[in-house]
Amino acid sequence: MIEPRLLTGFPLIPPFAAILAIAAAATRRDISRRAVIAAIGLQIVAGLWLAITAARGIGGRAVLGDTPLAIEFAFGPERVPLMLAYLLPLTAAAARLDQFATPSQRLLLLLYMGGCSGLIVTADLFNFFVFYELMVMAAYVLVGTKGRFYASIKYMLFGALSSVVLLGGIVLLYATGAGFRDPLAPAFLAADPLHQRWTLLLLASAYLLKSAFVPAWTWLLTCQSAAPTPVSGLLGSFTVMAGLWGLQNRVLEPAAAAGFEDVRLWIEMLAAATVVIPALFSLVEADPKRCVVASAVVSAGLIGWLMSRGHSAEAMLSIAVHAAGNTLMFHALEETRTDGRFITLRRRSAVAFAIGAVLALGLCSTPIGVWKIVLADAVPGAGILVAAATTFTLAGLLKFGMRRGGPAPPPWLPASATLALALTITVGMGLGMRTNVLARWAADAATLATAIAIGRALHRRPEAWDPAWRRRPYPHLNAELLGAALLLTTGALWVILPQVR
Amino acid sequence: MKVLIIAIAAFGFIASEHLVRKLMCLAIIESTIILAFLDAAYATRGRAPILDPAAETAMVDPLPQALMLTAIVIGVCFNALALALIVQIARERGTVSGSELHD
Repeated sequence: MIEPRLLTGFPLIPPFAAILAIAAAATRRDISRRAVIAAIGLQIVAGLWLAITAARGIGGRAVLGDTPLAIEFAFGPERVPLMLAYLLPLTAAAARLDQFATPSQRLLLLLYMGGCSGLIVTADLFNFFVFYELMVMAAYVLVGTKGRFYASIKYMLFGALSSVVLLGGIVLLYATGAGFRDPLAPAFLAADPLHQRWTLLLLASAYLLKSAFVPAWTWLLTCQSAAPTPVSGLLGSFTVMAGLWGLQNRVLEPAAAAGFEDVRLWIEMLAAATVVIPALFSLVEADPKRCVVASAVVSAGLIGWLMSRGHSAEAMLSIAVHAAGNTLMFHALEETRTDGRFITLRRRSAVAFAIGAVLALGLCSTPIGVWKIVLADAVPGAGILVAAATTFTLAGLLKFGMRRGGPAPPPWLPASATLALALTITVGMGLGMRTNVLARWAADAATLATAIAIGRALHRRPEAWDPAWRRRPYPHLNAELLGAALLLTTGALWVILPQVR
Repeated sequence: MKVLIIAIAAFGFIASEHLVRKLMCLAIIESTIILAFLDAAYATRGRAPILDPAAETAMVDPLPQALMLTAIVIGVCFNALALALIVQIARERGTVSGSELHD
C-alpha cells in the first residue's frame, strides 16, 4: 500500500516551498529559484515513486482531518498516466527556469505546481474544482507575463465559464444526495433519470470546455501560444488532459453505471469534430506555435474519441505519450525565429521537433498510432477522418520553409527526444504492432508524403494563409463564446430528446 | 427563477461587447449557483452546524456552507485579477470591446 504521508505530502511540496521563499523574502533574501528547483526535484522523486508503486497495482488513500470536511487523497494505477503527463513537462520546465525572470513569477509557478499536483491525487469532486482553480489562477497570470493580456483575459473567461458549469454540476450532484467523493454512490444511481442526465450534462460540458473540445477550442490557441514555454508545455498536456481524465472518471463511468450509453454518442460526435476541424485550421495558421496547439487539440479529440468508445486504458496511456510529444515540440520551437513563411532553427531543434511531432501525432509504432488503428477498426469511417486529420496537421506544420540558424538549443533537447522516441516505440511495439509492421510504416510514409506535398503547395501560395495577405481565420471573442454555448446546447439536446420521445 | 436569472446572465455573457459587463454576467451566474447550492442544503428549523451532543434539533449540513465559502473566495480573487487585466488591456489597446479585440 502507498504510504499515506507520501500521498498527502506530494501536493504540499510546492506550497511549502513557496512559503519558505516568501519567509526568506521578508529578510531580503531571494531563494525563490532554489525553492522552485527543490520543489521540482522532490516532486519528480515523489511522483515517480508513486507512479512506479501504482504501476505494480498498488494503490492508497489518505485523509487530512476527521470531519465531513476532511480532504481525501488517493492514488492508484488509473492515475499513473495523469502523473506522467505532469512530470514530463515539469522535467522540461526545470531546464527552462530562465523563462521565469522575477521571484513573483517563480512563486506563481509553485502555485501552479501545487494546483496540478493536488488535481492528480484528489479523490473529491469539489477539491478537483478547488485545485483546478488554484492551478488556473496562477496560469492566468503566467500567460500574461509577456504582456499578452488579451490572451490572459480570454483564458480567464473560458476558464471561469467551465468552472461555473462544473459548480452547477456539483450542485445537482449534491441535490441527488450523493457525496462528492464518489459519483457512483447509490443515491446518484437512484435519482430521477432526468436529474441524472442534467448532472452528467453539466459535468461533461465543464470537462469538455476545459479540454478545448470543438466548438469551444480556439481559446487554447491564444493562451497556450502566449504563455512562457514551460507553462505552454504544462497547459497543452496536463491541463487539457486533466479535463479528459475528469470526463472519463466523472462522466463516462457514472453514465455507464446509470445506463446512459447514449452520452457516448454525443461525446463521440464532438470528439470527431475535434479531430478534424483544428487540423483544417492548422493548414491556414501562420504561427507555428499555434499549429502545435492545434495538433494538441487534435490529440485531445482522438483521446476523447477513444474514451467514448470504451478504450479508457488506451486513452489514458495516450495522455502520457501526447504530453511528451507536445512538450518536445514546444521546447524545440523556443530556439526558433519565425519570419513570415520561414522558420529559422538549428538542426538539433528540428530533430527534437520532428520527434515530438511523431509522438504527438502517432506516427511510426508509437502508442497513439496503435490506438488510431484500434479506433479505425471499431468505427466505420474513423480511419479516413483520423488519417486526414494527421495529414492536415502535419501539412500545417510542414508548410513553413526551414532556414538554418538561430540560437543553439540546450544539449538535453535532442537527447531527451531520442530517448522518448525509443521508449514509446518500444511500448508501441509491445502493444501489438509486431504484426504488419512494414504495412503500417508504409501507411505512415504515405501520410508523410501527402503532408509534404500539401505543405509545399501551401508554402508556394502564401496568400492562402500568411497574415501579410489576409487576416487570421478565427472569429472574435463573442463568436468564440458562442461556440461554448453551442457545446452546451448540443448537450441539452441529449437531455431533452429522450423526454420528447 | 434561478434558471431564468442564469439564462439572462448567460445571454449577457455571450452577447455583450464590454469585457466588464461579461465579467459581471459571469459573477451573477456564479452567485446564483451558490444560492442554489445553499438552497439545496436548506433544512427547516435546522440549527447552526456546531457539534453539540445535548442538542435536540438536527443541525444543517456544514458541507455546502464551507464549500460555497471557498467558491466565493475564489470568485473574489478571480474578479480582482480579471478587472486588473481589463484595465491593462484598456491602457494598451484603447478598447475593451469583445468585437474589436483580436490576438
